[in-house]
Amino acid sequence: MALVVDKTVKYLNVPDANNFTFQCSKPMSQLTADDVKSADFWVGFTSFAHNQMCEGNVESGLPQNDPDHCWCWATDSSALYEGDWSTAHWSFPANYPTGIYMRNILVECAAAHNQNVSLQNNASARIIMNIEAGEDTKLQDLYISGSSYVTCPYSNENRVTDYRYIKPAVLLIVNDVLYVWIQSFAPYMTGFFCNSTTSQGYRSTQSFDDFSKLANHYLGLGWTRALQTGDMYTDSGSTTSVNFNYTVPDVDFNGVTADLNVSLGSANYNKRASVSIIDNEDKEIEKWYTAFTGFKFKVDDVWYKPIVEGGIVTGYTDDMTVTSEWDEWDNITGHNVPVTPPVPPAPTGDNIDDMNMNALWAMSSDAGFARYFLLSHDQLASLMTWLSDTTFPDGYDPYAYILSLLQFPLKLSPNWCMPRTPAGHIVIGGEDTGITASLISNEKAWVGAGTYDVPQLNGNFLDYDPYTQYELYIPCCGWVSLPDIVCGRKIAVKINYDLTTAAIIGNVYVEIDGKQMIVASKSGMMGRETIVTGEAQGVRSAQITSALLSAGTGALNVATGAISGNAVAAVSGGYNIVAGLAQANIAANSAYTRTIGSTGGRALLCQFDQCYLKICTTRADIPNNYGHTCGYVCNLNGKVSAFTGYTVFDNVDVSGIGKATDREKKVIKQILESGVIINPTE
Amino acid sequence: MTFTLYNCTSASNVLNKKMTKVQDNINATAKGIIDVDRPALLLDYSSVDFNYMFIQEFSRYYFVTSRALMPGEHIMISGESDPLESFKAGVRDLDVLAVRNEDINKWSKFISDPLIVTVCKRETHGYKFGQMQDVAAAGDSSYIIGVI
Repeated sequence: MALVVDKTVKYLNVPDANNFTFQCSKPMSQLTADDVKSADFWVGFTSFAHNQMCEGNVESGLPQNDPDHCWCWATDSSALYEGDWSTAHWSFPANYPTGIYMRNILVECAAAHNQNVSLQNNASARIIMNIEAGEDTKLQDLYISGSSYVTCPYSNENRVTDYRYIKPAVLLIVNDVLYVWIQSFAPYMTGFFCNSTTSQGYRSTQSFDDFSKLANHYLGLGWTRALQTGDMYTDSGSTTSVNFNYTVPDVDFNGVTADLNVSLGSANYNKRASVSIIDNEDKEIEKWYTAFTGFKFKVDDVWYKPIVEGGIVTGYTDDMTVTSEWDEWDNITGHNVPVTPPVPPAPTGDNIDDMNMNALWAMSSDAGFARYFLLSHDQLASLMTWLSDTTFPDGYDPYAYILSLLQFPLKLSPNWCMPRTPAGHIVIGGEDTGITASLISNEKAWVGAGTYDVPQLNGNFLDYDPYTQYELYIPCCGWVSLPDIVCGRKIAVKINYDLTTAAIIGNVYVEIDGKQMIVASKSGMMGRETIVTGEAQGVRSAQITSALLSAGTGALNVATGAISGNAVAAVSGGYNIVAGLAQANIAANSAYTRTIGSTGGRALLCQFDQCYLKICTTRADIPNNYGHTCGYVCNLNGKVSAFTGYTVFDNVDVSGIGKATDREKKVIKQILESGVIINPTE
Repeated sequence: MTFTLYNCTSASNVLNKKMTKVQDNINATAKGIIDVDRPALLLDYSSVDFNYMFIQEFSRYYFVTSRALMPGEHIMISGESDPLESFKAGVRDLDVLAVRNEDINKWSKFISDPLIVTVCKRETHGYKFGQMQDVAAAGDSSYIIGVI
C-alpha cells in the first residue's frame, strides 16, 4: 500500500489522554520479522513496569484495534508490574492514514504515560517508534524515520512518582548530521551519558572529554561541541529545564550502532533517560530522516509543546499560540515530514566505488628489480637538474638505470587506489638523488569512474535485446557494448591501471542481487611514454680522466726514458702524452647523450573524461484499443471466469464441458484459442 | 418445441452475451428431421425482430442464420447453435492459460509481443556520469619513473 498523506489531518486528536489506551497485539517474544515487515508502522514498549494506563477504559471514541494498519506490543511481559500491556487497548481510526501521523500518536502516548506511569527497580521505560512504509512504497521516496522517546527510570531507593522526571529526547538526522537534543524538566540533572547499555551513570564531575570519548567509542565520530558549563545543571530540587544540543557530523542511521543509548544521568538518583537508535539494519533505506522534532507532553496538567526553529527543538512552551515549526505540518525543516516526499534526485552518477570493487583487485604485484617512483611536475624538474649534474662519480651513467618515464594526465592522488610507501629519496643506480618521492609498492592502481542507474526507458520487453542496445563510453578506452542485463540496474565503471606502461582496462560491473558481475571490458591507454635524455656526465668525466691518466703515464715514460737514456721509451712516452691529451680533448668535447624511451602520442588523451551511456531503443506504437483488439500479453492461469474482456487462451482443455457434443467442444476450443470476449456476469 | 426469441447485440465470440428478450414461449413446428446443431423450424411468429433464440428442448442457444416469412403468420427460420453461450457455465469453470487479455493491469510487460507495432526510427538517449578523478591541469601531470 502506498504511503498516504492527508494534509487535512494533522494528527490523531485524542480527546482525553487519560482515556487513550493501548492494546498490544502480542508480546515481543512472539514477534516475528514478518510482523514488523507487514505492519505499516509499529510502536514498541519495552519493559514497562506498572502503569495504570493499562487499566484505562476504552472510551476514547476511537475505533477498536485495527491490526491491518497498526499494532504494538509489550516487549517483556514478565517485567510488567500490576498490569500487563497486553491487556491494554490500542486503537486507531479505521481510515486513519498510516505512518507519518505517528508523531502525534506518540505524543499522546507520552502524555498518557506522564499521567499514570510509575516505575520501579531500575526499569527503563522506553517508547520506540518507527514508521514503516507500505510494501509498495519505495523506500527512497520515504524520507521519514522514527526517533526515540525515552523516559526516566529510577532506583528503588529513590522512588519517583513525579512525572517531571520524564525527559523527552530527540534525535535528528538532517543532511547527514545527527543532532541529539535532550531536555530535562527534572532536577538533579547532572550529566550526559552515552553508553551501549543503560546501566551506567555519568556524573557532572566528568568532563566532556570523557563523554566525548564514550561517544566516539560507540559512535566512532567526533562530537563537534563540547559540553559547556551552562549545560550542566547540578542543583537539586529545581525544575529548570536544561537543554543539550550536540551535533555529530557525517552520520546516518546506518552508521550508528543499533544499541546505542544516549542517557541523561543524575548524581542523586541515578536517573537516566536514554535515546535508543532504531536498528534498521534490515532496511534498505539509504538515509533516514527523523520525523521527530519534539513531543508535546503534559506536566502537572500543563501541556507543553516544543519550539522548533530550523528543525531543532530550542525549547518548550505551554503557550500553544507561540509560533513553532512544530505546528507547520508541511514544514520539512520543522518536521522532516514532507507532505510530498522529496523526489529522489535524478541519477547523476558519482565517483563512489560503492560496489566495493576494491575487493576484486586484491591481487598484488611485484615489480621485481625495478622500482617505480611517483613524481610531480616539480619533482621531475628536480630530477632533471640532478641528472645534469657534472659531479657524478667517474663512469656513473644514471641513464643506464632508468627504465622508463611515463606521463599521466592525472594527479595520482590518494583517490586512486595505488599502494605506495611513505615518501623517501629516489635512488638511481645506487646514487641517492636527494629527491623525495613515493615509491609505488604495487604496479597496479584502480579508480572508480562512476556508477549509474541504467533506466528502463520503456518499462517493457522493448528495453531488451533486440529492441534496445546499450553502449558505454569509458574514458580513454572507447565504446563497449553492454548486455541488456544492465537495464534497470546499477552499473559501475572501474578503471584498472598498469602504472608501468600506462595501459588501462575499463571494467563495467552490474549489480545483481547485491553481487557484482563484470559484464564488459575495454582496454586503452591513459598516459604516454616520455623521453628521458641528457648528457652522461659521469661517463664523460671518466673518459677524460682515463685520457689524462694515459697522458700522465706518457709523461712518466718520457721522464724515466730520459733518465735511463732509453730513447725509445722516451719517444713512446711523448707519444702517449700527445695521444692522451688528444683523447681528453675529444672526450671533453664529445657528446655523451643518452636517450631513453620515445615521445608517446597524446591523441589518446584527447578524449571525453566522463563515462557516457548510450541507449538506442525502440518505441512501441500502441493504440488505445490494443487491449480490446489484440489483448496485452500475459501468462496467467486460472478459471475462465477470472478474466474479463478480450482474452486469448492457449491449449484449452474442453473435456470438462460434459453435455456439449464433440463439435460444440471444438467450436468452444476454437473460440477460446482465437480470442473470446468475456463479459462479466451480472 | 418452445422457443425464446432474443435480439443479441454481442458478437459471436462473446461469452455471456448481451441479449434482449423479444418473445418467449413461441411454438415451432419441425419440418422433417431436426439437426440439433443447425435446426430449421417453422415458428408461430410473424416478425423478424430477433436474431438469436433459445430452444428449451435442446437447452441451447442459437444464432438465427436465416428467416423467411411464410403465409399464415409463420416464419421459417434456420439456426446454428452457439455452444459458447449454451455451455457458458462450464466454459467459465475451465482451467485455462490466458496468453492475452484486455486488462492492461494483467500485461506481462517483459514478455515479447510480436503484435505490438514498433517504430523503426529508434530513439537514442545519452547519459553522462562519473568523472575521471584528479584530471591534471597544464603543468600538473604526474610522472612515474622506473629505475633500477
